[in-house]
Amino acid sequence: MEPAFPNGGAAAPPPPMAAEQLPPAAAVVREQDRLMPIANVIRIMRRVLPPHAKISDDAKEVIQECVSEFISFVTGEANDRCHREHRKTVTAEDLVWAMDRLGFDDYVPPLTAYLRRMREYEGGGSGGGGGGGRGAAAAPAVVPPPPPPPPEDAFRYVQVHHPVYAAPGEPVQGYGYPVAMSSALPAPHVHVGVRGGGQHEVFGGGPAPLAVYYGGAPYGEASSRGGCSAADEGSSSSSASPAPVGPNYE
Amino acid sequence: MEPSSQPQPVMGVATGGSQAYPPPAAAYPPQAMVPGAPAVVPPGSQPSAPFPTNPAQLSAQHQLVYQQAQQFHQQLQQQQQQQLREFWANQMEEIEQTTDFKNHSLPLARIKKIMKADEDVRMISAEAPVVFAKACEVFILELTLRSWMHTEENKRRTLQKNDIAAAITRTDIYDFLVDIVPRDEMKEEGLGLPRVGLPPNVGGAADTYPYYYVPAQQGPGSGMMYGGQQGHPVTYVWQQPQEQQEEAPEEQHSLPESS
Repeated sequence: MEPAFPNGGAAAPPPPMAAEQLPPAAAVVREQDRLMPIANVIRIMRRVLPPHAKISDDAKEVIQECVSEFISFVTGEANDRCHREHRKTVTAEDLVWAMDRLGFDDYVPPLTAYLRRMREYEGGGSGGGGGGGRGAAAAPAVVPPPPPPPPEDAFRYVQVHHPVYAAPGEPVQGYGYPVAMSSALPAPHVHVGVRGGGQHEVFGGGPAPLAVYYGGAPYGEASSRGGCSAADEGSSSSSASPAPVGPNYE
Repeated sequence: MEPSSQPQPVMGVATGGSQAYPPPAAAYPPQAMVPGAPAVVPPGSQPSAPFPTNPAQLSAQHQLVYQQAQQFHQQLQQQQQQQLREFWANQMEEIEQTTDFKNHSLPLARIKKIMKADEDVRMISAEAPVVFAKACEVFILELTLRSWMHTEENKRRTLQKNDIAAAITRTDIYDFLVDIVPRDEMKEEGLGLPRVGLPPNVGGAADTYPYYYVPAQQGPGSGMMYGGQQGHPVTYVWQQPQEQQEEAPEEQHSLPESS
């Protein structure tokens, strides 16, 4: 099931998890369980809106759908990483890493800080281990497997990764732009200490889980794009996949 | 067209990271999509691009109208970028001051069920749903803020579905949400943009605004295409205005401009 690691578990969290292990395993996920409670969603929305703002009912429903999609999207990416590293448990670090990879760079600093403070608050052995550093220091305490390659390798893999998606014909022009921006990527990786090791293996493991969500595209990231394109023109999606152009390096 | 973009370093990284997505999709016809990253280019290209077209095609009065529209959009972008910067600063401050880690904005059990909906997911650590609860909270806040920006642009006080659609089309990292909002919602958003620009800039001369504003948008796009410098993302950006033109009576006028 989902046994929590002794180091990562606080006094309170384990019981709720244990109590909920049976229902999910025994029954299929019901429709009402597929979305976040609308009251919670509305309460959060109002925190960023002016007092006089109103929210239409269809907008509330769309946000509910978007949140579930966000969870599935990030979880799929995090799970890919677990499989590549032959681990079975999706950890908080995996989620933060996945968000970084999926473009949610802004989420990394606040969530890393949140995770650090949470562990300090727990005051457990894991918290003590994490005190010295941010995500990087805390990771070993939660994840038994050996630590992944250093950030430099991660950056190199990220760089290698980009060309595949920018390869087809005209998009090469667009590729020049992300490369320029990609040069800045090392900073956040070093800063948050999120492990990027194994990204190179994306080509091997990517398609499997994401295909379940977004279709039959060959690569993880291409999947979401493939789904988008398929909605507009199926032939374009199919043509893009088998015709990758050689990678372009600066 | 007022796509949101963020100039600060962290956002620059975000833009770079998200650029891994746009190229493949940009190769396809989807006109309704407007990636946030290319939006970084238009503000820089607009000041120089208008020069070639102004002397030959626009009178002094129309130049003034165009400049006013341009300034308005730039100010709007700056305001929105400032709002986003403040949003992220507030998030960090809020988290640094967090002392309650047991009451979450969203139920952990529900998060866990959604995670487990993927049969490929085996075990989940106890901390994962907790971090996700915070991540989803931030996600809802940011998406709502970006949607509200569109609501304000249209002088409304009710956040609607098409506002969310607009936020999704304008922001790269929200591409995975495209299928959640029907395309007709995006088209509505597209039609709404030109109208937004009319009141604050043209007033009594509302009829002449779209006629002169649209060609100016084409200029930079075609210039970038020929120049070959990052022409692809820019081309992608300008595709949407062309779609709008097709729906407007200026279709005939747009043809000579493109030739």
